[in-house]
Amino acid sequence: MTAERVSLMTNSLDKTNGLDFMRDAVSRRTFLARMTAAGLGTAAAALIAGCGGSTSNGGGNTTPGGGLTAYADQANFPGIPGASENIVVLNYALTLETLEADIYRQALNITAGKPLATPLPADGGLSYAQAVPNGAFPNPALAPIAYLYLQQYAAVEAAHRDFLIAAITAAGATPVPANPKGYSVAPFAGTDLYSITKLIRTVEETGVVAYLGAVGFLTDANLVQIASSIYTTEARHSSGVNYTLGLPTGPTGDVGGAQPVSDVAANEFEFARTPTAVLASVKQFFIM
Amino acid sequence: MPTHVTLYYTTDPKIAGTTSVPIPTGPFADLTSAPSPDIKVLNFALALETLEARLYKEALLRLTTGGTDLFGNKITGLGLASTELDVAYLTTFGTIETQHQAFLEKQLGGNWALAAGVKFDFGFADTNNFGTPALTRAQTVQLVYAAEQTGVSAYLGGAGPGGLTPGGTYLSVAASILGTEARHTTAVAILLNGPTFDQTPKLATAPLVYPVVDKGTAGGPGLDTALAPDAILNLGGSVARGTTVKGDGVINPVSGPKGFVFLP
Repeated sequence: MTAERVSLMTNSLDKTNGLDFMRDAVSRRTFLARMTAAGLGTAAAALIAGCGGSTSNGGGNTTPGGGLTAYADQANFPGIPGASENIVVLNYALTLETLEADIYRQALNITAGKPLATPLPADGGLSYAQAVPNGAFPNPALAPIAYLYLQQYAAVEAAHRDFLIAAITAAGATPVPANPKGYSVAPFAGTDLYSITKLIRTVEETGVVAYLGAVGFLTDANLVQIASSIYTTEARHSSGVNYTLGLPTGPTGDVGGAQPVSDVAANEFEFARTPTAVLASVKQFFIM
Repeated sequence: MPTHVTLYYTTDPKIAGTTSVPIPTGPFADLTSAPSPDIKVLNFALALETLEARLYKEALLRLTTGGTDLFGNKITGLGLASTELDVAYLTTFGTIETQHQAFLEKQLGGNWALAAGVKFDFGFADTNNFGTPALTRAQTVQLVYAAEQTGVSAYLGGAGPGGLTPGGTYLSVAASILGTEARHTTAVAILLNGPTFDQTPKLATAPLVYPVVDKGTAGGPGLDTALAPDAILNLGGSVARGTTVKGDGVINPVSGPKGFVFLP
């Protein structure tokens, strides 16, 4: 028998400052290079706002900016712009991340007693003190942890939004803008930390099923990997938030309309929702 | 003694009883005769799920009633009750990993599976291949954390260029497993941060963006990190078992499979 001693492990790379290199594997710069390699820039170049007015995009709609906006896949991604399938999927992700980031921002403002319009501060809200009651946490000791996660994850969702904007822009395409009138959060958030955390839980779990329902539409492996590396953070956030609420860390498939992605319809696998179903479910947050 | 122990695969569809084909330098990259990149990645995933499933099984034996490892060595149980959170989590997650293993085996239809007879040694037994004391309760949970963290990066790596076919049959299925690895990583991080283990510094429950003074660990890009299969298979080996897990919420710690695999 051959035995080799090795161990509880770790990151030998860390010792040689390899960690930065690892991070760079998904850094913005690398990502932008990958986008270029994927040829997305060429396909979507005509969409750059302000200089696409004379370019036909095959039946696109006129946008307020004067350019033409193409909708490559209305059947699967209703209302999501993009001249190619990949851009449509990225804009779909951006639509959700923009909403998610703003829900976090507003939720943080509510829990910290700040005006709803207050921007996310430079420290991501980590200096904010909780200003609302805990509410009905099954285990009250977990309320401070729920608040910490709210503080920590808010900045992450904002980073995902900015990351996608940069990526789509780098591809020569136009990132879908935030909803002009903003997002309605307070009516769904309640007035205590527990109810706000429950809203966050729904948002995160929706993110998980949304990414899993959309990843199959991407046609480029680099984009699949990047989208998946966002998707896993949604799953992590869901797990953490579920814990604070006294729920199984998941997946539990109890997000409305969630579907298994294989013939194994059990909770050992994540669930998915179609983009159409997800967009319908989040519509309530969009102020029209 | 080789300096490098790898996962072994067989090219024979009838695995049991056949001669395994060792692939000594980068088993993933060398699976050139696999029918497709998808089959390669599924095999890679199966190898890791097999490792994880076994890890959970033996970790639970260590935490509870004790038993024997794959070498027939005695694992002394720590006698923890099923109501302890670590036992409860490991029980739930171990069942899930076993389901993943079975699912992938089914998908592969008996082809290209991990070579029969491969044994793992995680160091739970009183007498083990490392010649070290059995892992403590904390080390046991830390090892599970490392394995789950590695699982996330491994699946992400398998979803990249040269891996699973975009839009293909297996991509969404693999992603549906990936998400659970991420959830488990977070849950076990929470477990280690909690009162029983009181890990210091606290592990980040997810990749963070801003530095978190006294509330967590340093910030990163807010994305999980992908590692290519070859990188995963070459992780590990340089730090002594028992080293305290240090979390930065990005990639460290990671646990490479070769540290636990022993040839038949």
